[in-house]
Amino acid sequence: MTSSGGDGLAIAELVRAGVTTAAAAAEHALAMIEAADDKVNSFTAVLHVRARSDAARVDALVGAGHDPGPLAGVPFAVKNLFDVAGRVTVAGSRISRDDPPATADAVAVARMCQAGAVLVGSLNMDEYAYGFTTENSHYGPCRNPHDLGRVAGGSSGGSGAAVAAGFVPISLGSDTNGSVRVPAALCGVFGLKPTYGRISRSGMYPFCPSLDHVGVLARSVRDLAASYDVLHGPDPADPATIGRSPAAVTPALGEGVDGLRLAVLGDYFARGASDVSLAAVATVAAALGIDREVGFAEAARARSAAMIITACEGAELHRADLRTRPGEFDPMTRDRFLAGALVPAGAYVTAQRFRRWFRNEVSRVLASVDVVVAPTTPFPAPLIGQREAVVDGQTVQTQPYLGCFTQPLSFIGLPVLSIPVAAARGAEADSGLPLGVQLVAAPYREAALVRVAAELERRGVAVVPEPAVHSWR
Amino acid sequence: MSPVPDGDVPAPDVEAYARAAAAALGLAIDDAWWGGVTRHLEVMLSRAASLEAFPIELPDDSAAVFQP
Repeated sequence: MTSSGGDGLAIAELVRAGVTTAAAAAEHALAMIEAADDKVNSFTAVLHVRARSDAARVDALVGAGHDPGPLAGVPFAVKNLFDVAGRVTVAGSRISRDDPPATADAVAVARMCQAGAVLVGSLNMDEYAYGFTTENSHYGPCRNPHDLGRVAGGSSGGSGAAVAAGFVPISLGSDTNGSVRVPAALCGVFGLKPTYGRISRSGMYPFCPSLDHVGVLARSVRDLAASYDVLHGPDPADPATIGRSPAAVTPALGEGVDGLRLAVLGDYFARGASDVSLAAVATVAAALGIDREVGFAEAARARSAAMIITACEGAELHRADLRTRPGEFDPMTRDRFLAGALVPAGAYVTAQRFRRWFRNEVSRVLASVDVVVAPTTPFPAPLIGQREAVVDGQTVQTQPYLGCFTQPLSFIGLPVLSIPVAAARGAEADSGLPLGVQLVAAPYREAALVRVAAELERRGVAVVPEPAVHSWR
Repeated sequence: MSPVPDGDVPAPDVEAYARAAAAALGLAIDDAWWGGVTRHLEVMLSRAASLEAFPIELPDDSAAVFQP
């Protein structure tokens, strides 16, 4: 039953067939979390009562001969910025502990549960999602299951670590600049950030409304696809979701890559990364027989514009608290929010104007290619507390630089699927650490991403490595 | 906006701007935080300058209003 080595749909098949129960799956997940999460620190709340209640409902449906849904009895957990009925949504902060409890589940949480999934807890994150390492001063750092001295990535660090550790097969996160893809890569799991507006953010604590996405992390491509299928679609409470009909991607899992036009992203995405990150891309390109390279012009400026928009929208959201209780923010986020509050309006307007230009430029490129391949992060997981790294002979600030390849893509809302690449493991002296490769497509072409990811998984190129649990003792 | 000297234009004093703006906005910034705040603001202004330097024709910045 352990989710390590298996996936969520394997559990669902057993539950629906009556071989096991949702209650047993939930108890197993709770026991694993109890036994080992004190080492990883991925959970900030374990919801025993809720999990047992959800599981009992699923088992009752099975007992009555009904289908509880495609995720029947699958344990899952959510970044602690998603509303969970009856719980305070802390969003990684101390300040929001003073908020009243949520009166209902976030739409994404509710849709997972309506499909039969069982919520077991809330997960660690960077405060208010402003970070790439989940070194949270209020709740402690989330540790990478593959090396407890290293970060799990962020801001959805708990979401990556909990899946990598095998505590749950599926988790939800949010991605504004890379916050699903970075932890997915550093923890060695699959992560999907769909097209902007594809999954409702209603009931999710916002960070930067014009950039925020809901995303999924999982141990298999089919779990990502099944989760996306139940999560996406219009929701009147999130205007960004309106006007687009649902389109399931699970049927694309077995279609293979024949007929897809594939390319590697060059230029900006081929520089400023460690050898192992670039080697991971080369491994994927070789497996798919890619011999074409394309570029997204001005990607560095796109990252700059994303940083400005993030700083301004984030600071505006927290303006009242920055005035009245700035000392209660995490120091890692406080200084950046304060700086964001001081950025002149002209910078924000210029960044949004550039955003339209960049979207048009990338759309032109993606008219001639279906999926492009790029590194997810510039290097494997840094050490906890590591502030600098040397890349290409240049010293970079570790924390912000982790998002250098993810930010230009979420900036214009493209769908991106980060796959864990086995070939990168052991390629460097300090490695054995997972790495990710981004698969990128034009808006609403999630099915193409799933086709490529499933093919790479089938060929053994995309593999979720098992954490070295024995080293945790 | 640019902290980078441009010809004969003197480099702006980012900290002076930041202190004045913070006061105007009612942000009480502790002395110990100013180093970090100023450093992050300088990064933002530098990035804003790189965007300003990129020529884009003025687009139709249409507001999101109801259509008839």
